Amino acid sequence: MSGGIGALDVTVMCGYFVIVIAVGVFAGQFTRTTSEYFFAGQRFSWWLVAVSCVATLVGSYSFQSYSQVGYLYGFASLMPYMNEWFVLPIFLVAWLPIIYYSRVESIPEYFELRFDRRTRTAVLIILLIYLEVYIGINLLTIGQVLLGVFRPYAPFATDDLNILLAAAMMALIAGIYLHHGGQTSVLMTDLVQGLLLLGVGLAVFGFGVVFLGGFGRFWQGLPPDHRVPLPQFNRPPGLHEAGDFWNDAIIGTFAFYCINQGVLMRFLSVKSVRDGRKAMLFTVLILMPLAAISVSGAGWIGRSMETHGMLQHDAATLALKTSDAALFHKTVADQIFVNVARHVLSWPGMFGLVMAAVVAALMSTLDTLITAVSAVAVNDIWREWRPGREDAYYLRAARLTAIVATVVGLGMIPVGTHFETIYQALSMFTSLVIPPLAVVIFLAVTTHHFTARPAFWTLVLGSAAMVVSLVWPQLIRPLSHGVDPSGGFPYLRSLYGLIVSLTIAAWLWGVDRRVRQISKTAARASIVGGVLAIVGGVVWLTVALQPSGGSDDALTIGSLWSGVSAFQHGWAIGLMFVLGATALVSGRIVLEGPRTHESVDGLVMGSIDHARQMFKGGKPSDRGVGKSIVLPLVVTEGTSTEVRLSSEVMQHLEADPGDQIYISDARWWLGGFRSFHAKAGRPAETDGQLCLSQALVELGHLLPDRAVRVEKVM
Amino acid sequence: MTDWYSWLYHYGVGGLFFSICLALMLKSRAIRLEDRHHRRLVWSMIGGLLLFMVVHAAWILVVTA
Repeated sequence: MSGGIGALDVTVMCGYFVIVIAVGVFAGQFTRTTSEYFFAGQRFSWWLVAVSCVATLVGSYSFQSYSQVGYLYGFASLMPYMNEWFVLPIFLVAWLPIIYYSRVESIPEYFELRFDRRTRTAVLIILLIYLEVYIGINLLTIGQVLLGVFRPYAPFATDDLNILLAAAMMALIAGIYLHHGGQTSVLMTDLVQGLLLLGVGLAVFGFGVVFLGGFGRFWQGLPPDHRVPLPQFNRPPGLHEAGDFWNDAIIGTFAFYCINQGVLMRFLSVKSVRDGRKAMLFTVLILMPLAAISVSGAGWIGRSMETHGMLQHDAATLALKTSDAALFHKTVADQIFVNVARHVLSWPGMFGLVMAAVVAALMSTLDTLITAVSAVAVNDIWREWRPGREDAYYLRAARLTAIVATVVGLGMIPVGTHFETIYQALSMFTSLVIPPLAVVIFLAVTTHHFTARPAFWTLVLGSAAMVVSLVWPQLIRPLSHGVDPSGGFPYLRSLYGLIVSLTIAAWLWGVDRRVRQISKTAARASIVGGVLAIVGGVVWLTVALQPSGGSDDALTIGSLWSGVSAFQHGWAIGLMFVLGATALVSGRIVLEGPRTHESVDGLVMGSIDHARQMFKGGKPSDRGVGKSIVLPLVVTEGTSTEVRLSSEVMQHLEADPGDQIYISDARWWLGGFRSFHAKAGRPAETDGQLCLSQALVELGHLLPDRAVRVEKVM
Repeated sequence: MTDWYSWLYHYGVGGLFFSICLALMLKSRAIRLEDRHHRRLVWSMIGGLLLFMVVHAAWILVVTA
């Protein structure tokens, strides 16, 4: 097993692909409308969504990139998967319920409801760029992984063409089941893939420890600085806490959960907001730490094996070991997952299963992203361009768009090839695109007073500022935290983006004409805020354009307090105060802001009850929420859409007529696959049975001979 | 001590952001502590954050001891 891939491995891989396609196509039979295509009918249980979500989270570039990071930097590779807590309140308390209850079908649509049409357009452009480049990076990863395994059989002389071919083949496989089933297929295939990839990743780590001769020997093989769970504060340039915190914990998490339409659609497929919150908490608390070990483990094992001389290399790589140690480790890191898996799981067919899991996991992210582009394109472009058509028309458009999204994604592959690691490519790209949108979402959901004009111009000017920082990275220097400037601060660009976008938002908010009309005090405050912002800008440029005296090379936190760096950071800290003052002065206007709350009720976190009321079509009742009862199902003739329960059952559920109830197949492990929502009608004499019309049974894909569970949702 | 800089920065700045978000939610009544479900949600979030914070601190202690 030391060479290429064997015939049995290929058979296992092909067998696995057949299973995934079969599951996807089978699940696709339950898709009839665009709502089911994009949101799977909002009927699934929290655990199913959580596990399938992990397949999306892990599936992208994770095995490849986090094994690289684990090999190069040790346990610090855990952090990107364990730092969601800071953004969690925004997602769980504000964003998820607002999006769920307002029934928007895409993120840009929310911005038209909350602000105006041009803000929606701006968000649409940013979102499509983000999703398409993300697709390109995923396809690049698939190509790299497959090339590593099938290199002896590669048909083209250049790696770029071989990567493109491999990526196109995988995109075709994902396209087959995506074309059939949309979100339902994605959910079910990702469930299978999520369980498998977690299991395989953990197996690689577990067997790796055994292969090394136990945990003690594994631990000894790790360099001391690889043993700590967090990256070092400001070095090395490839991974450091200062950058990781802003780029991954704040912006990355925001991007993934609040802006990635695909992940959001996954959470919108749950049966209730309560289940969505459960899914998220379970994901962050249990599944993400497991996933972190699963994707990074091979890198740690590889590093320990390297120390103990147990890793085999080809002659070219081995020659680098003495001539260029850094390049040697980088070269080893590129293929570390495949290499370690080959060493520790060497039974016939096992390596094929590992590769199937990795590639299928990569596909699971790909399918989510393609569905997301499809949803955005249909809801924000097709429906606007060709309004009032039948649902079948938009369903065809969704399927066509999925193909176009994949082709465009293939064209994006070269974007990722210029970076040292895929992790760096994704981080760089996220930090470039997301900060202005994150600031606007944060302000949009937290306060009624944030208005359309500042929202739009924050997106435009914030994005422009990000592009400018790409051309002149020295603009980020005041926030450098002592990080080596030679790399252009790819991770700290997120912090720069946040501060610049927040300042733009606060200032524009302050000078917004409608706000200024409220009072003279507010108008004066906005002028003061504007002056402070200009002072801040001058200070910023003074620091940013200061010639480097070499002190940036002093890469310790101590450099914050010594020499030229102390001067730089002193200015930067002063700048923070100025920016803070700007925000506060502008924020003062919030207290006297325009009284236009009614138009955005249900779209900001202070009025979620209003959104719930609109969602239910009546006053929400939290009494007895979550209570359930199992009843035998009796199918009646007719097309009635009313669900009538006996008085005893209504009493048990603490439900009243008009309450929203959820009816599902009583077998929990189906996870809501056969289920539907309905409103409770007036109580009826039903002798402890649930009588449903044929139409409702078909709506929920229920089986006549199976008991059902009835649960109060709201 | 250098091993702790990252931990302090991570949970110090992150904790501040987390606290500001929670405070905004309480102030806007998006979270109502008199509601049992909301109370449980808040304690789950705070508990989870504290758990990770303690685990990482213990890990650094073990490695640097």
